[in-house]
Formats: sequence, structure tokens, C-alpha cells
Amino acid sequence: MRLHLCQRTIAVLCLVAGLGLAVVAPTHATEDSLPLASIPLTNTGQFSVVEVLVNGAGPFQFVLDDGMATTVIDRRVAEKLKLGAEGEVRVASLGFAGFEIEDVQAKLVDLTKIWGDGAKDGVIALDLFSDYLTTLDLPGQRLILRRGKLSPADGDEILDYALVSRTDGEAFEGRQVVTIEVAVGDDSLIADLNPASWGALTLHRDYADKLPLTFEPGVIGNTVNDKGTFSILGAGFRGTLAIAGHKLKNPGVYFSDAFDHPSLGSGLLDSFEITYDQAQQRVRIHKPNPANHPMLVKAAGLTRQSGHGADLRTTFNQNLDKVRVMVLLSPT
Amino acid sequence: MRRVGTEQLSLQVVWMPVLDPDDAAAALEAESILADPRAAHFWDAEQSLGKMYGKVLTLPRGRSLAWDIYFVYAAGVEWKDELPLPTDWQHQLGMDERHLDGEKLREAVVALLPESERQLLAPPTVAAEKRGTINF
Repeated sequence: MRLHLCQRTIAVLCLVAGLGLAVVAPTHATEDSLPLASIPLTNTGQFSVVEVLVNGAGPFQFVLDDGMATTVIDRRVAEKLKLGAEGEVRVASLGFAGFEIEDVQAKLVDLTKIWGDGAKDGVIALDLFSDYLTTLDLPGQRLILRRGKLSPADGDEILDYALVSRTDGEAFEGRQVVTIEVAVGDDSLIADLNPASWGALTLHRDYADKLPLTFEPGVIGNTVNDKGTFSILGAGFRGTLAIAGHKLKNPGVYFSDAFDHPSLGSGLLDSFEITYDQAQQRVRIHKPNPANHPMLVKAAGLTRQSGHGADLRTTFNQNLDKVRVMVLLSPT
Repeated sequence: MRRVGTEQLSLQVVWMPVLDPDDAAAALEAESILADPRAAHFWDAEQSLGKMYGKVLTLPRGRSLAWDIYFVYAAGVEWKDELPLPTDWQHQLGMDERHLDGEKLREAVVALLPESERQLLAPPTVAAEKRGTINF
């Protein structure tokens, strides 16, 4: 697999060089290094989705798998692009917002058998970007690629991770996930790191009887796997979840008999930037300044729906000397 | 709002799409439900405020979106860099100790008013209590 930069990116780098600015590959955590790509993500509630050009055609909607697995292309797309009908193929290029990866091995799978008619067009996994520091910027909803490597684990933001096999049906045979050690109260657990997937702190249902909870678990939905359909219970953990140096008090927790492994999903991690250094099997879990959270900026800047007046935050603060009531409602 | 007849109170109503028919037009129409000169109405198409409060509050059943929820802030609570945390709040997202009770919420609001204002307020009406609705 080879990777190359599109013409526009090369032009930008040439411009930077022409201005006398050095582009240096850093030797440690590289938040300041020049991004090679910044790829928009869309959170569907279940997955994170990226737009992908397959051999220049598309864009197609691909699920971003936060594990390590062979790229999957849905058979409907494969037939449309005359890539073949089944088995594995070599794709000349996959394009992501001006960034291209060439010569990619992909498996052709009928994804409608797994996800029904609403199936996306394919699945790409993080190891497609294994030559790069790959940041899942969840507040900013972007996948950012940089050169460089992470500093050694410091227990504060940077952790060593282990890859564990999590084969999920034939389509994702050989799939591996990133696991890290977390502390749920006084218990140390090895949890799958699933920032691009649905879920919060998700645990097997047995934990519902062991953990102190802020309220009784209630059914919030179902999940289906090859063993059947299972209820998902939602509750609140009364205690602290420690992920590296980050302490999350009373986080939401989901329980199900279908959850064989503890995992950390996007509902828990969506304030964080998760950077993977796949060469060294390290991950950086960084919480950017919450004041810059794009969602918070949007909330503060909400404008009045009729008439004139200041935005929401200004209105709130203009009434500082008063008692304020704020209600969040559905209009129907 | 009418029940707490004081100028020492302001209301921000943030409408957001949660149910199928919800849209900006429906939100405009819904303004009449909470029509009051002290109220300002906002439309949050991306549920940004509800999602942000869902991160900082523990909601029933592990919910991550705060909606059908009522926040009360004492005078002096400022919205700086981070979301202002409510002094008191209630919701209709599930049965727990914070489940909406219109009269208790009214009492929470009144308790935060200056003493001089509290004495001017009318007691709750029987009709309002029967409805169990929010009626500040």
C-alpha cells in the first residue's frame, strides 16, 4: 500500500517551503505538526462515516472502523465500479478529502446482509492509515493525519495499547481492536477503545449487580448479534471512571448480555481527541479546551428564532442579576 | 412565568428537533406555549445545547441528550468559557428524584428571588396544581 498527496496538498507544501518555513517531522507528541489531511466525519449515532472516492468515483459513504481490519467494499459498489463480484481485489486508489491512498487491498462483501438496506458503501479501518499519526478529533468531527510519533506512555494522556482479536463475522475476519487499561472505581479493566462507534462505558450485564449506580438500570434499546437480540440497559455509574489521567465522574453506563468485553464508545469520548501511533502501539487521549468545543460554540451562538436580540449566551449573561430559567424542549 | 410575576426572572427557551415532526416552523409555532415578555426563544437545529448538557449532567438511563428539561440559575451565575451549571434542574426523561414537579420547580425559582420579590408573589392556584404543568 502506498500513499501519495494530491496536487493541491503538494502545492500547499511547496508554498510553505517557498516562504522559508521548515516542515519538520517532530520526534514526540505532534499536536503542532502540520496536518497532512483533515477528513470530515459524520456521526450517525451508530457509526462515524467518511466520504471516500473509490478509483476517483463517488463519493461513497464508508463506515470508519476504529479497529484494525481489511478494507471492505459493499458488493453494490463493487458491481457499479466493475471491481468484481466477490473475494478480494486491489483498488487503485481511495480518496479522502483531497488525500489519496493507492493500491489498497479490499474485501468485497454484501453489507446489506449485515446492516440491511441502509448499509453503507464500505468500511475502512484505522490501519489503512498506519504510517501516520491518526487523530480522531471527536469534538471537531474530523480524522486528522500527521507525520510523527507519540512520546512514551506517561499515564496522563499517552498510554501503550494492546491489539486483541475481535472477529465480528466472516466479513471482518482477522479484525483487531485497540484495548487500554481503565479504572472503573477501584477495579482495573481492559477495555476496547471504540471512539468511532456507538456506546458509552459499555459492560456485560453482570456488572449491573456489582457497580454502585446513580439510578436503577432501564431498557433503552436492543442490540442484535449472531446469538440473538439482547436488551441494552442504561444507567449511571456512581463513581469515577479513570482513562489515563482523565477522571470522569458518574459517567453513563450501558449493560447488555451481548457486551462480552468492556468498551468505551463515542458517547463517552466525544469530548476527546484520540491519536493513534500504530507503529509504537501508543494512543494519546487528549481533552481539548472545552471552551473551544464546536458544539459549545454553536450553543452559545444560537440566535433568536423570531425578532431581534442577542445570541443565547449574551442573553443569558445580560440577565445576570436575575434568576434565569432555561428550558430545552421539543416543539411537538 | 405568569405565576412568578416578577421582573427579577428571565426565561430562555431553546427548541430543538427530537421527535419526527420537529422543525424550525414547528418551533416558531410553539412560542405561543411559553409566550411572555420575559422569554427569549431560540432554535437549536443541531441539538448542540442538549448534547453539551448531556455531557455534564447525569441523566436518567444513561441518556446523552438533555431535552424536556428545566434549568434554574441563581442570579450571578455567568456563562463564561464553559456551560453554566444550573442551581437546580428537573426533567421528564425518566422517574427519579429530579422528575419534573411544577410546584417544586416554582418553589426553587422563588427561593432564589430577593426576599422583597418573594413576598409579592401569588400562591399557586388549584387549577395549576391539578394540571401539574410548569407555570412560573
